[in-house]
Amino acid sequence: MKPCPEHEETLWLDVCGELDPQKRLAWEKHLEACENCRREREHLALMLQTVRVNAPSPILSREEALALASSIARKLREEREEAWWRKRLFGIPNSLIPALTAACILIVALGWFSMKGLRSPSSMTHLNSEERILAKDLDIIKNLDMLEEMDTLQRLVRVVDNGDIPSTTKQN
Amino acid sequence: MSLKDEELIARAQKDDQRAIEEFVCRYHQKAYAIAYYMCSGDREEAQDLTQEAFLRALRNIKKFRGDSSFYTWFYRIVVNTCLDGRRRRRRWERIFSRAGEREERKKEVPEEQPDMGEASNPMDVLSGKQLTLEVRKALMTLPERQRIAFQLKIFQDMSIREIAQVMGSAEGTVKSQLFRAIHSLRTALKDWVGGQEEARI
Repeated sequence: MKPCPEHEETLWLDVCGELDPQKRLAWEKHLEACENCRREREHLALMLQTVRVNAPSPILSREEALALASSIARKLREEREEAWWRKRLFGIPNSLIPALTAACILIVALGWFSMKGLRSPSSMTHLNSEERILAKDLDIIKNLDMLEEMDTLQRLVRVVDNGDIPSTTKQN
Repeated sequence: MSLKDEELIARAQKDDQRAIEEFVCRYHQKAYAIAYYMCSGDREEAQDLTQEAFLRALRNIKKFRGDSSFYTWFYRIVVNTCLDGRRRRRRWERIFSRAGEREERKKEVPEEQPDMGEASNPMDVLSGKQLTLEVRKALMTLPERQRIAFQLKIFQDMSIREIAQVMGSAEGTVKSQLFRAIHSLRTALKDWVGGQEEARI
């Protein structure tokens, strides 16, 4: 036998003790007249009572409760001490640690990229043809002194080979 | 003389050690009961989660402004801690699926056995034990949120409004979860409760 569908919600609210007092009077009148709803109400009430009795809330024993309380107190004390030491040693609040870590990572990354950037100009692979010519000219200008010395040496070899010693050398 | 919740919390917010102890002492059984049913009857896990919930609550106690009653605020922390714990556990179980299956099999029979008290008839004791097992099995087969709603209503005597605050859901949602849970339990315990009713008549 099923309860009246239009009263099903009222029935469940009543069983759960949540029925609006204003609706109670009308509901009780209905219960007097409707046997199906009355039976279902009794059945649900008995079922909930059975659940309450047969699945009571588990209880922590005295020892377990004491162990729990002391463990909570110990953990809180440890956390407090840790926070105190951190404050003393670094003076950094916990909330700033992620920001500081991110800043460190950023600095390292920037440093690495800038080092890479400094090293790369030594290779000429990334230069275009005009820049390469300019770079060669630059090399020649840098080695100009050495080229002049080479020229002098060649002239000296020529003079020695020919036996043609200039007068200024003889006087010395 | 025991302090009211408001005074107790005001003192705990000022790091009064005795108030903190009193708070743990006052709420540990209820917190544990919630955790126990949310952990499908695993006592050790329930104790760990109860401890974690207390630590979370005490770390954040200074943030409690009194917009809701303290116990709904605290129960919400307990429920959220348990949900997080369960999620974490499921993730591990997925990774180590074999261990998970073993645990599930172990949990099919709840750990605690009821104390049948002074019942003299062995048949009564036997049927009582069987009924207890059936009730617990039926409770454990409920979906998580239905079980929480049912448990807070029936075992903790909370109103639907309070349950909605604890679960962070709308009152209508809680109502429907509660009704579905009652409906499932009614079906699961049909033979047992029907039999009792007939015997009573």
